[in-house]
Amino acid sequence: MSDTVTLTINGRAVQAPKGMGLVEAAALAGIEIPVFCHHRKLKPVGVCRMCLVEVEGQRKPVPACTTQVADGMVVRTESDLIRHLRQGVLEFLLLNHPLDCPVCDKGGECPLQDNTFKYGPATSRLSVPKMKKRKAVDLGNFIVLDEERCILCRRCTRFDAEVACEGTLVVGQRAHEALITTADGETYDSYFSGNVIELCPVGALTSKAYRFKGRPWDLSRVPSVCTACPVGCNIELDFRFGELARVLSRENPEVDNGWLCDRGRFNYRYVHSADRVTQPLLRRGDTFVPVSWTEALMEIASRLRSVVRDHGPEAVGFIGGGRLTNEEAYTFQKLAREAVGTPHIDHRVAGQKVTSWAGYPGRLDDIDGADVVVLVDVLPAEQMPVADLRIRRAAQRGAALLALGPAAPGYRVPHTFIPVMPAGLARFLEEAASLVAEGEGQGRTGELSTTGAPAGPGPAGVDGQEALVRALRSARRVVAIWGGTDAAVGRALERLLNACRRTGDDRRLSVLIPGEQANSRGAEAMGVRPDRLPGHRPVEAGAAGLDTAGMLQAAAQGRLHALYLVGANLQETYPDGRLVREALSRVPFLVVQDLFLTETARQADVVLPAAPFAAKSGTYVNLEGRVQEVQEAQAAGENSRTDGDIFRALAEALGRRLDRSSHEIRWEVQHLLEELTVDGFVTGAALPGEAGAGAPAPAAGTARGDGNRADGRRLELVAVSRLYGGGGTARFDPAFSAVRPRAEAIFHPDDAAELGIAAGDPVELSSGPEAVTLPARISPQVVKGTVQVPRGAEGPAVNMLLTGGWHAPVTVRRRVLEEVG
Amino acid sequence: MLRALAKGMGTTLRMLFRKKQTLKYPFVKKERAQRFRGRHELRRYENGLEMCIGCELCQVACPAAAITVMPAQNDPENPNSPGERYAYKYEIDMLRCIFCGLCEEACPTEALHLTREFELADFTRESHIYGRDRLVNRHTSPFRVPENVYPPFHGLRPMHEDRGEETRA
Repeated sequence: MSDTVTLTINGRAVQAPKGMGLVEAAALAGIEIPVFCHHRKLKPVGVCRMCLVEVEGQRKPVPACTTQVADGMVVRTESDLIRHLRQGVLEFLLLNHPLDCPVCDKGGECPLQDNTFKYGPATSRLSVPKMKKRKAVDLGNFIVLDEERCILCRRCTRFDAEVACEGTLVVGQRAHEALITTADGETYDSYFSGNVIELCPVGALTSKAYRFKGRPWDLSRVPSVCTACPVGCNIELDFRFGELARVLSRENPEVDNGWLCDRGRFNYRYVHSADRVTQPLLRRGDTFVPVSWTEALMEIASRLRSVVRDHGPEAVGFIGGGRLTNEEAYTFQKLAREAVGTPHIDHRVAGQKVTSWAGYPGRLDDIDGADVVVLVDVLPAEQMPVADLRIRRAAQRGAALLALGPAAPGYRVPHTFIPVMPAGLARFLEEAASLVAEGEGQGRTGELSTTGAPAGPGPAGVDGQEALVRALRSARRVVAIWGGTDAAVGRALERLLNACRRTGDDRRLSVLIPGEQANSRGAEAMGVRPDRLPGHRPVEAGAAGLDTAGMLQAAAQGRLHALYLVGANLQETYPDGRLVREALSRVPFLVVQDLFLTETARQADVVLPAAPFAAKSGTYVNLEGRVQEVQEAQAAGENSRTDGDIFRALAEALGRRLDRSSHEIRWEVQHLLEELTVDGFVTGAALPGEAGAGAPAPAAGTARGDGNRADGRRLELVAVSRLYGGGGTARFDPAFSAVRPRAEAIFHPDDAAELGIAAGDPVELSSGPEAVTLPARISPQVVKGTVQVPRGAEGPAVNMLLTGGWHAPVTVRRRVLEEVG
Repeated sequence: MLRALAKGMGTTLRMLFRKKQTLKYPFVKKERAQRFRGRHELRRYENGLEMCIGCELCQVACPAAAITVMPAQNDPENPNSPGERYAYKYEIDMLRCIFCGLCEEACPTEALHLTREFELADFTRESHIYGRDRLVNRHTSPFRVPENVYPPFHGLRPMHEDRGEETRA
């Protein structure tokens, strides 16, 4: 039996794969069947009736979208009957459509407009007034709904149910009063809400940010790659008069599958923010003075030279690079290692220890075929949102989805959440590994320890461990997604996967690690690491430099005399606020290269204005190791320069040219990436502690003495990533600052009851001498014994309580009113 | 030769008694046709609201690319035009304009109108770019806001509001 069938469409023989819908099969032959409700990424429903075609042997015309091809089928799409039916369908759709195309944002790229011109009646026979519904309804964070324009094709509700697996958007009311809505009191605040704008075949769902900004024919389109997270979704940047007007998805089935998250789609207006630094700034006393580039670079060069002369090159540290292109990251490490001569350079700015792992290379499409998806201390919806759509689909398809960690992922698809405290995570995995390796364990479950379980009563680790072991034993394809924050967890995970591999040899095991910044993997491959040179080559034994924690400690102790930060707002991103504060105030010379005057940049001696992502050309490596190229889409603007240009100019000011020609760096990077590429993907680095991982960087993060207060209670503070949190990009974006999470402390209802906390109460969290007061919220999603705070939120910086990791014990105390004042 | 001279003088003499074609231009202006296409104006409805809704159809119809429109959302408290959208920036480069009138024809609200004014000469290129300040007519026109086309815009409506309110009010 062959897998293709032959059918006849409009008298032409067409070969199509079995099971294909008629709409796609006709498209193969270049025959267009008009559709509204049909979308190839969604299941067919056949509600709009636009795609009716005649099939020989059928009494009545059939909808092409719900009909599958069959051998010998004879289809007619252009008969008089079909033309008449299409006119009828369009006349019905337009009965209550307001035809306010002149004020509609979809006008010019509207399938209803196009199909009416092509297939519709020229005039309307309607003589009574149209139905009146509401216009400009605030549907959610980013979307405006026009109820009148909606033709009820249900693409949006189907996307929300089938792809986002959330089911927030529904069709309410009946018959002619039917409209798109949400459950009472809810708004459509999905992380993926923006996709419905592109799906909508009329102008019913439009973007708030792009509302009345222009027409599709005004826009010049530039293909690009999103730099908001390490997934690297393909996007299209639409400019009007040189200003970024909107971001659309540019489908790449292997990466984004045509979807985008709202951070990628709507967080673009910071590019034109008035708050951007547009001129190099030099500190004079307590204020900044704008200076020329020459003056700024000369100042940096002379200060760096004097530091090197007095204290040696090892008194200079370089931090950042995860936001740079590969070419810029390569230039950055050349600047540090060649022009200055220091080994201290690190791209990790948010406490991540491992960015990539050569051991079990993972691909995004591995998730599609997985039977078991294990999330280890990671929240994919917050850290790799578009990849999370694949996880949700896998779980809905029947794959076992297990989440391990101190924070629940909050899925609406079937999943198992196993609460494990970060401290017990490695041990939990190791025990699971030995159970898997033994291949039995049914009789041994009683001996399992519960070290992984949080202190006090709560969901114990035993059941969870059993669930994990049982799922892994029967699994053929396992995808583990790991946050990469603790190398010991990585080694335990490796042992677990090794144990799985031993039990069956046809297994496909893969690990994905979302980097903390968009190009963390690229920066690592380019050698922006103290222990690795470009191409993952380990440095000579004993020659390893200090990592971020080491540099900050050295600066705090006065051993580091100059610090150069690139796109790194350490005060916000680094999980040890006290150390950062001490380091930045102690270090005699601080250079910050950034788009905005962040709290870190405000402490700098020199601030260099960098250009936003759209002004760069180069390559990025996404979390699976895929290399994607971008071209310069706009000028750097004002007086800013791209990071790569700044590094080159600074090296020249230091008396050292980094490249002989502009193509040299690009060529070297290309060569390096080719060397690292296996099967089309850049390989990861070895896990720390493995052979070939290079000399381990000095350990950082020391436990602090804790002045335990008598009236408080000890809870584990867990700082969780939030998609809309953090980064100057969200804070200085007019569309985005409103959705940025507010700092709050979230408690389990039992803990809240024990502490006597009600929602909204001010709560003091303290660790050692540091204390932060936050409003309380109560949620059963939080693991008992922990208090959750969002990272990068607006409000007091909670990283003051942390000591190098994203969790730490804190003392919780309800503040009484007199104290608050 | 004399005959030719007499013929020429005869023509002159004859013309002397015909109706004069010459106009004393700056003081006397030529009668223009009813559909003469001169400087553009953006008209207002009788209630003072601008008729232009910033749809940009004139911009795309213009064969000389002389028009630039930047739309924006109306301020519900103080609207510029009926409905949700208006043109916050509207520019016509009169040096580029060929006065073909396609923009007027494209305008779905009949806001854009080519007046019979033709004296557009000036000394700089910049002064030939007419903005809203010179295009929008200060006076109202006899046009009325069409019914049932532009529902009044009160800003973004919350998703779950009391729908009965409208009918009760």
